[in-house]
Amino acid sequence: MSSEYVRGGGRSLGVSQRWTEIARALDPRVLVPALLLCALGLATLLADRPEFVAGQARWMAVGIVLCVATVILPYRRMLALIYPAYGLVLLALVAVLLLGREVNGAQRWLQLGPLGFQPSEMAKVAVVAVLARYIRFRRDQRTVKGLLTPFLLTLMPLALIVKQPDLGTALMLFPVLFVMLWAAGARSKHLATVLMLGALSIPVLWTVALEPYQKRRVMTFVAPVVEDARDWAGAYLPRVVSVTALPLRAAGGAAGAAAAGADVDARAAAAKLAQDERDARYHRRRSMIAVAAGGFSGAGFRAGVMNRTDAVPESWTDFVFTVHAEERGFLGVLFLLGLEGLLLLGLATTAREVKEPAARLLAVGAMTLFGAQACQNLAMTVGMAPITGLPLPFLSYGGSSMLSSWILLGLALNARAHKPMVFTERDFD
Amino acid sequence: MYEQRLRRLLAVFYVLLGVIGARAFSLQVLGAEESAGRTWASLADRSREFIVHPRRGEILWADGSKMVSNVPTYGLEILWGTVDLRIVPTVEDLRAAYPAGLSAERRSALESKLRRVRPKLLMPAGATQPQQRWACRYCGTQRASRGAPTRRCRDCTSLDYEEVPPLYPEDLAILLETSVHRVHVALIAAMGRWEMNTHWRSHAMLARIPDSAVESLSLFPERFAGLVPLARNGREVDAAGRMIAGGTRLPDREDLARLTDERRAARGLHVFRTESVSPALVGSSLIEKEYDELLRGIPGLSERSRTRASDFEARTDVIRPVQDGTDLRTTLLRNVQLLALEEVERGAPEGGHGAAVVLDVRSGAVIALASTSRDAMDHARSHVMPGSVYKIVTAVALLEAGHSPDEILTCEGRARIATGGRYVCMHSDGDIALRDAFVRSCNGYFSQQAAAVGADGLVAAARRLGLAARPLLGTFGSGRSTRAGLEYSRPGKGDPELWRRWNLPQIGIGQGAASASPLQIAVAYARIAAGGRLLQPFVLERDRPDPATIPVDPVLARWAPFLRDAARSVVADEEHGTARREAALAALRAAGKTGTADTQVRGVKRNNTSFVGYAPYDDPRYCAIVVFENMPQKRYGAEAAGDPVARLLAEALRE
Repeated sequence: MSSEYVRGGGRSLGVSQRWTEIARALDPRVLVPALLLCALGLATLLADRPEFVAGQARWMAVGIVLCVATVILPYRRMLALIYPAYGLVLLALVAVLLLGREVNGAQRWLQLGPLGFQPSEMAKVAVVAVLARYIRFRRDQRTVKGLLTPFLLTLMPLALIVKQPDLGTALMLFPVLFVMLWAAGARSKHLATVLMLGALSIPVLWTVALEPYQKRRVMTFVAPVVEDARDWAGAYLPRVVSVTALPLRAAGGAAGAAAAGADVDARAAAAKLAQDERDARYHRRRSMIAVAAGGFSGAGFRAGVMNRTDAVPESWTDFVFTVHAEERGFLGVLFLLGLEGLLLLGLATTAREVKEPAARLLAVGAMTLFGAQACQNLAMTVGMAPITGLPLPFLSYGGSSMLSSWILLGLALNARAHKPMVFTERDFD
Repeated sequence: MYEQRLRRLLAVFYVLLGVIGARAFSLQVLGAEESAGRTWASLADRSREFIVHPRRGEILWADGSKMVSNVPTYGLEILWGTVDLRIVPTVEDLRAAYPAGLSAERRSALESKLRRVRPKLLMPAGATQPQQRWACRYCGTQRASRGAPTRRCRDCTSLDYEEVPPLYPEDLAILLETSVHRVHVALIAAMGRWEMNTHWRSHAMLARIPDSAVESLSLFPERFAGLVPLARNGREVDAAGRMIAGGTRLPDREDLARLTDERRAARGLHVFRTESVSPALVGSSLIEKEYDELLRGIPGLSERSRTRASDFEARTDVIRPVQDGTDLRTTLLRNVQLLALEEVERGAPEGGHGAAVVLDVRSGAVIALASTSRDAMDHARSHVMPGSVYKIVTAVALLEAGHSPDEILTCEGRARIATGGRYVCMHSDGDIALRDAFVRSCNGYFSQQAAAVGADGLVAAARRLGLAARPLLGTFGSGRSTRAGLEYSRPGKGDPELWRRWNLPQIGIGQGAASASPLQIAVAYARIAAGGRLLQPFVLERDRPDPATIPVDPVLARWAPFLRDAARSVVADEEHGTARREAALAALRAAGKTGTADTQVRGVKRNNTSFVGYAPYDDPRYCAIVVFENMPQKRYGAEAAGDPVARLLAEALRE
């Protein structure tokens, strides 16, 4: 790779030409689905929590402005500053552990004056950008040794996010890392080996890293799936002890045994575990009921019983899809899935059309993050995945998530506005 | 390769979104058909979680049979605000449901209850159900209406209703597997209360209902609205066990504050919060209280859910297994305990109290512990003025201080001694040594010696014999007295030396400030009988010590043969022994000591009479004490308590 390419400042353009380029960069194939998703989010919020609509609209406007600003700034300049920015994000993640505000048992929020934000949301953007910056001109990702640094860059924020604990966000960084490496030409067998090693380390992580409530959530998901499968197979085996009970017995039994010794703390801990477990089961069941209640054409605006009775907790953030599904039915679900598909298609097109490696990686990273987050969120609301605290991009209520989504979108689109001079047709391979 | 991988990535996401879409289709489109017109939402929750109450641990006799049986069961709460009034019986229903052989008084009571109830609630004979009930298919909300409702459901605006099948008391009776009569009476009683206060949450009307009914009531709340099963504990107490395990007490002010519904309390009414009344009152005293954490167990959690195939089938899944309470095996022998109760009830004077304790001399196990008291006060572990049985303390103090047992003192019958204190003896025993003084229970000798050894010597001896300040057998039901029994060792008001000078002669003979519980006295004599082994009483098998680990007190071990010989002579000395007239004790080859303490009840002189003994004297196995408090005058220790002790020892030896 020539040094001119590395330091190339792009073509020299006039002011009007530059703005034309920028306007062209705001690709409607990406922006229209994103805006429609935002509008859908606002409409859902209007039915569920009207008092939050103004705030959400404000965050959305700020997000769009940031997106445009991100498009205006040359991405190469931004990438030149990405390591200090990455360092700042790591610092913010450490700060959140020390000074953070606790919400729902997790310490995820950092308070800056009147504003609270989640550094973990920024970490997602930072990881995509830092990986793009690191991998762009390298070829050594095709070797095992070359994989080490990208993994290190991802695992540092990931460990801090797991510590908060925010397992859902942390898990999203894995697909981003793997897909970006894969797209950059890493060998599939290397990545598969790493994945296999990761799978083998699950028992260790299960005992060391997961909080009891997170274990419960996973088991709450696993057990009914097994039961459903048994139902469908038509085999009514004896149900004296359900599948649910088996993995829970160890924790419950240990707590129970301690409680038998009149240990008040152990009794409280057992009660807490039981409560977590009930919450997770309740949550899953309620969200499925709400989705099912939508039927084919939906209950109509503000007419969903589950929505009106606040039957689904967190229905304005992580479970926003349940409200949408109940009010607009299967047709609405198809519409939303279609928008998600279009957004991913638009980002894939961008990733194909831009030529510079970092730009491609940014687009691939953004696409992976949006795709994985949407799939996980939708799957958990329809009972196909364990419940993790993960917002649906552009729809869920929340400033940090909205801003980080729009910034990421701006980064992905940026390369269209600042096309570098290309001296080589070298692809990743 | 890059573009190829990009296409694959996009394909993966499309497949995932497609799967999610298929799942949504199965839930939203297929799911509706599958539940045959009922949406998932109409069932609200297809499954419900229940606390599964653990079996409460049993308290067992030494042979393993049940002393107290705790039965976890369910009651039925009737919430009048929401109850389906169609279960209200007619007057004729109620009369027809009287069981055969109902007494005239009971019938009259029922009739009067019936008359108090507002007539319009009790439907006249022949009246049809005034209104049918309809449930919204969508959200389950019920409403009353003649014919299908024409107005939209107020909750979900649906017009799709189904009729709720009528509910009659007979249906309820079948569900509860109980007689119609009981259901009717329960309803009538509940209505009577409701009449007093229409906001009343009438509850626990039917004491026991089967688990199957609980399941149905909980799974179909829309059908049995207003009827809530309540978990509670029933208890069956063996008559012989009530002293040690079944002591019940009325809830005190603190309990009431804890259990009472606060809003009711503000209006001066006591209404127990239903969820906590039963468990709180079971285990409120004695062993049950002391070991409640063990007996109670840990509740489990189960989930009952309707299967997809049919709404009327339910399956139960265990979420958290229940842990039953632990059974507690006592050291009490049933026959001996029964006899002990019988003896103290027969022998105690009117207005007085009695207590009996039997110990196993080899281990310290309590094999009977009885008191006449029906309240939580346990006279076997409450302190009393012990009388002459306390002379064992003075004797041990004397020997420990280095006085020779052959030291002669003069008893003048009634005299003021050198310290200034006075004594009164039944007889003027003249010159007398320790052994004879113990056999004859000579107050003159022991008064003078107590003053000679001093308070510190008495305290040390009392400690050796187990008359410690700490109550024995844990803290449960430890009774009325907080006196430590060693109060004389602490300076009181005024000049402590003066206090001691005047009181030591009295304490030395178990009078005045001397204080000990029957259990403590029994332990003291059991230690002597066991050759100085420092036995500690216990009532649960789990506390049984390893015999090899029981320490031996050197002072008691040295003088035990001498004291056992003296105690034997109390029964066997045909000339002077204070228990010489009790043939039953002699027949058992028992040894022991009599005791009579002077007390007063509202100015009238009374006696605390007692006898403590063990048998056989040459190889002691059991030690028993019987104490009757506040007996009328002229009833001395052996007269009143000798025979009961003999019978208790005989029964124990027979076991």
